[in-house]
Amino acid sequence: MFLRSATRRNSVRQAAASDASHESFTRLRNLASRWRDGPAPLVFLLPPLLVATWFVPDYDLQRLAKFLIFAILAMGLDFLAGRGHLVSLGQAGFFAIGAYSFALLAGTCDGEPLLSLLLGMLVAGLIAGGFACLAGVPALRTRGVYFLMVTLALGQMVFYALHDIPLFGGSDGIFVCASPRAIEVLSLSGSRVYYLMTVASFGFAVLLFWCLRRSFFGTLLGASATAEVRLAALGYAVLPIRLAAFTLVGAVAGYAGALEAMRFRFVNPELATWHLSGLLLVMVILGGRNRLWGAVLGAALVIGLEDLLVYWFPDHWQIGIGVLAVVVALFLPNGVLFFARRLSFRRLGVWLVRQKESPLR
Amino acid sequence: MTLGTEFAGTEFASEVLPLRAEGLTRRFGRFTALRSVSVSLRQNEIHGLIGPNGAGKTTLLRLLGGQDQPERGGEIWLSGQRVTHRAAWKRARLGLGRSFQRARLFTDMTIADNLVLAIRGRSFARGGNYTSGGAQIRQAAERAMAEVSLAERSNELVRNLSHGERRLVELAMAFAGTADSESRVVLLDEPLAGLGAGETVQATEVIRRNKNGRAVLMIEHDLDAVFELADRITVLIAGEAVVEGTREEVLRDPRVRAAYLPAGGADR
Repeated sequence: MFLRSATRRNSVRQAAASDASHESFTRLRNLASRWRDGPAPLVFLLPPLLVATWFVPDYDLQRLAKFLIFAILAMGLDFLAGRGHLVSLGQAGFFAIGAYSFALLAGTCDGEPLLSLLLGMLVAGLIAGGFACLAGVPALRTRGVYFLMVTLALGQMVFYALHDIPLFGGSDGIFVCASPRAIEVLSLSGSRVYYLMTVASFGFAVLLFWCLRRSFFGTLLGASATAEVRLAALGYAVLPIRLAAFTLVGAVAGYAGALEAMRFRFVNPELATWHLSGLLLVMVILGGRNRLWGAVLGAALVIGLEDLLVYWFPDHWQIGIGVLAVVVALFLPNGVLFFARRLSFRRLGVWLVRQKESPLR
Repeated sequence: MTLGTEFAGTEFASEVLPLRAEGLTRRFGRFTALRSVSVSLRQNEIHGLIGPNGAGKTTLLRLLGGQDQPERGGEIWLSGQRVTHRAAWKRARLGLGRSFQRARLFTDMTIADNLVLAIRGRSFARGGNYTSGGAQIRQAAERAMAEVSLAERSNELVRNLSHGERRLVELAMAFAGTADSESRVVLLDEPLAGLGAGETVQATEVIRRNKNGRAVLMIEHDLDAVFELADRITVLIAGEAVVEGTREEVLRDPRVRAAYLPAGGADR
């Protein structure tokens, strides 16, 4: 599609192309950048993740699964906040709705265990998406900071609903009451099956958001962020575009919530706290917004740092995240991914080309 | 020939005007920005809208374009359909195009993509959808870019363009369309503001060339350009349409001379 060329890199490419001495290097770099912004890094990421299934202890598999779940969540939030400038602080609410839906529904289906689990996850996603759609109608009438506050309030409503309605077990939460055969799949001996499901979900999420970003829908969402009034004046209804994005990302968050519910086979209102929504935003900001892999990198940084810091500062590990956030904001306002790209390909390539053309040789 | 309201009421009642608005009032708190303004646009005509700063020109355009709502009592018809309370995007689908005083473009997209988006949006008016007619839309985009001499730079990001070039893109977007889905009513908010001499000539030429088959309403401070381009002119002073007519009729009006034109500036 014609609109697919709508990327900033295009002009960077052209500017560089005018400089003949860099042409061969530019061609290489174009290839690299097309690769890096597509799903191609999955090729390098998936094999180690899959191999880990058999060589990594159970505890670390759990941590990896947590990283993958948060990466899915952060990718969704980045599509909303990075592409559509819809900075939501309520994603944890949809995450928790998905988790609780799964916990309550998993027992109702006693068929082929894997299929019933998958069905449960999809239904959890649908339910969370439904709630997102309902919440989006009023929330999306606001913009900017107001949207942030409204989504924060919606998230808190979910938290208190889960906390105070007896069905949801108060602050103790509830166990995932899956059928005995499904429990077997999720039990310790079967934690590999669960982990593989998470890896597959992550792969699908990457493909999904890659397609969304390239699609006309993704372009419209971005356009609604840069010039909303203009988009409406061209004949596009802006609210349905935003609502579709909000609903879709809510559904993905619900699906991720179902994965999280399976991780410990237990859910509690902690899942809906706004801290979690805030942490997701930190991931997006740290990694680099409006980039397919930015949120994934951010999730890896935060979860990885948590693992490291909890060892030394079990109670105050968030301080480390805070310091990192400040450092990134000061020195890498476009996120770590941006830095990584420049460092790895551009700088090195330019330096190499200069060496080759040096008059001293 | 006197005021536009009379056209709307009597002579042209049987003919469907591309755009007709009556009794538009807009208050902001106690301040009345527009007081019962009526305006009607005719096919193949450029209608100039002039007036001193703060006269309510942009407010009027916002009401017509659907970016703002008039007070009760005002009515707007687009090609015979009452659109007073319809959203901007619905009016756009009825064939209304507009440009903005400060260029509002999709800055992180290329010029070509901006135009494609504009033309695709317009194609909805003719039953187009999000995927149909890609080839025609691309051709139309190329035509539109050639018209403002930006065809060679079609893949340039809009954020890298100068102010004047952005204004030209705005203009191109207001007029662009495939053969069967062009805008029929175009509202231009100061299309020449801040343009260099060469760009002014170019923009003027674009507006003149695109007048056929359309009704154009143009706010402009550059009086030379207005008098050169516009077939009819409405003068808005302090929220009221004081006079409407040809260049000579407008210049003859003492209120216009007193309130708007600098001493001697109009004696040409």
